[in-house]
Amino acid sequence: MVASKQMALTVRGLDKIYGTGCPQCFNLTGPAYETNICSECGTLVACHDISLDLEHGEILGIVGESGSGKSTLVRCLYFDEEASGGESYLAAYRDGKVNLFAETAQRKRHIRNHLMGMVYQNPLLGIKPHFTAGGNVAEKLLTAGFYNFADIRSRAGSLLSRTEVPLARMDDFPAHFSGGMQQRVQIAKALSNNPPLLFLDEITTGLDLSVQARVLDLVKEIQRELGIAMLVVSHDLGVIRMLADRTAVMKNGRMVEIGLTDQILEDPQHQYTQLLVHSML
Amino acid sequence: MMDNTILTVDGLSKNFILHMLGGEMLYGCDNISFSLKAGEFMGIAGPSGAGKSTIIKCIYRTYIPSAGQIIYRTKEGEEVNLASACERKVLQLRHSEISYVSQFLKVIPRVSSVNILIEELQQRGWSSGKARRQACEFLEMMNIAPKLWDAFPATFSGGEQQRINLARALITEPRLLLLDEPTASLDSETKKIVVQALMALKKKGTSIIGIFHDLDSMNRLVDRVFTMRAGQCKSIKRRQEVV
Repeated sequence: MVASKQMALTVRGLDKIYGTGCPQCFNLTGPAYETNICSECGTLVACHDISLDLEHGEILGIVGESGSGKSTLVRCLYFDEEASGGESYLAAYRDGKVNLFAETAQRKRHIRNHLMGMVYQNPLLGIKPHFTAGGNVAEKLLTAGFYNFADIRSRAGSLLSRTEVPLARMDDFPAHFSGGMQQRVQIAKALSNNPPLLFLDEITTGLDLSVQARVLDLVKEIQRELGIAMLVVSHDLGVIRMLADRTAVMKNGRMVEIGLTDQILEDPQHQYTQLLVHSML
Repeated sequence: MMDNTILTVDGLSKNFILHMLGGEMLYGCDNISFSLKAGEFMGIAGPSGAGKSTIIKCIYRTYIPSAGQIIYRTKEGEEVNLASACERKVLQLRHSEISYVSQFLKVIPRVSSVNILIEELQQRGWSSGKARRQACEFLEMMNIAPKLWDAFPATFSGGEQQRINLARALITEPRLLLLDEPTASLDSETKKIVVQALMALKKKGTSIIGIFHDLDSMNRLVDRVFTMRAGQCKSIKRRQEVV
């Protein structure tokens, strides 16, 4: 398969299971059974048959309850987890002609370092607390092939000020930062290699409201100015409404609905989406 | 389709299926048909719950129509059925030609009023200096006090928020503007400002569909009134006939 030129990312039929698996796994799990654990063999079906397209500069929201498979999906796409099946194509990699899941570990590392960025809910997964804030950004830049010290230093500085980390603290350790500031260091790091594709996993969860507003505005600004395509995972429908053009809804490892964000929120079609929207504060 | 017709709604129906109530069906609107010419202003009137907003939201595709067609003619002359067009086509039209103003302002917190307007223009490729000048002009036209320009609208009065909301849609000069009670809860002075702004936009050729409870404002603006009752069209009359 060749991905369409307009698409930054194309995913087809992604599966992820934890366990031995049996022929019944996909038939006995999903929203109809209200579980993602196969009653036959006990395998956990975290994601099944997930397909999506992401245009250049587009923000796609992914919502769903805890355990619905949102984070697993993103982790598979970022190669933190190995997908059990399916295909993924990146326009920026060999013109979108090669299935990334079939590439070697070394190639995947290269793709991750050069063409993708990831921001985790827990900032300490994305940054090293015992490297300085500047050092964290520099680390990503080094792996992406920047070797000139002065260049790295100035780029790290501009990224950190962009994400409103005071330059005076560039040489401090994130271990001593607040959660919100750690999160902004993580965003600066994720942006450092200028990735065409960015994954954001629950990035505002646990942040205080004023920092949350700033992070949301920053994400919008990045989209507008750099045209980066983003996959935004959140269980906060307010965040999704602010950020995403389109939204996908997940439940028990399946994608049950995908549509325009305002349509998902105001005219939800699937039973589960209706429940989710009606539970919104 | 006639030459200067911009929108043709044909047999539009919308039902809502509530799974939580065992699949009970709610009826929004039923078999609605009308067309709209370039530069025409059509008002929709009727009691609460008659299905006025449903029609507008179907055109904007916030609601997925259950039946019927909504043919929109783009600037390039392409005919797009908004009832079934792919999501990206709808998004593209929303970013370039079709705007919707609800009664509520929904914006990212801690973005100033002037920046809310600037961002709309920058999304459409304006330079930041030019966008700022235009944004200030619109805030002034909407009679928003200059000291509020750099403030965040969360704590503004209802009337001020509504004017920011309108300014945000008007500044982009859409070809088709959908308004859901733009003058609700405004005092008469502010209403006058809003009516003038809408008249100016209409003069520039924008086609407008607006829901009004306030018949006085409506009669000053519209060419035709579409009256609804219980999800159906009761009458379509020229303005003079309604008065």
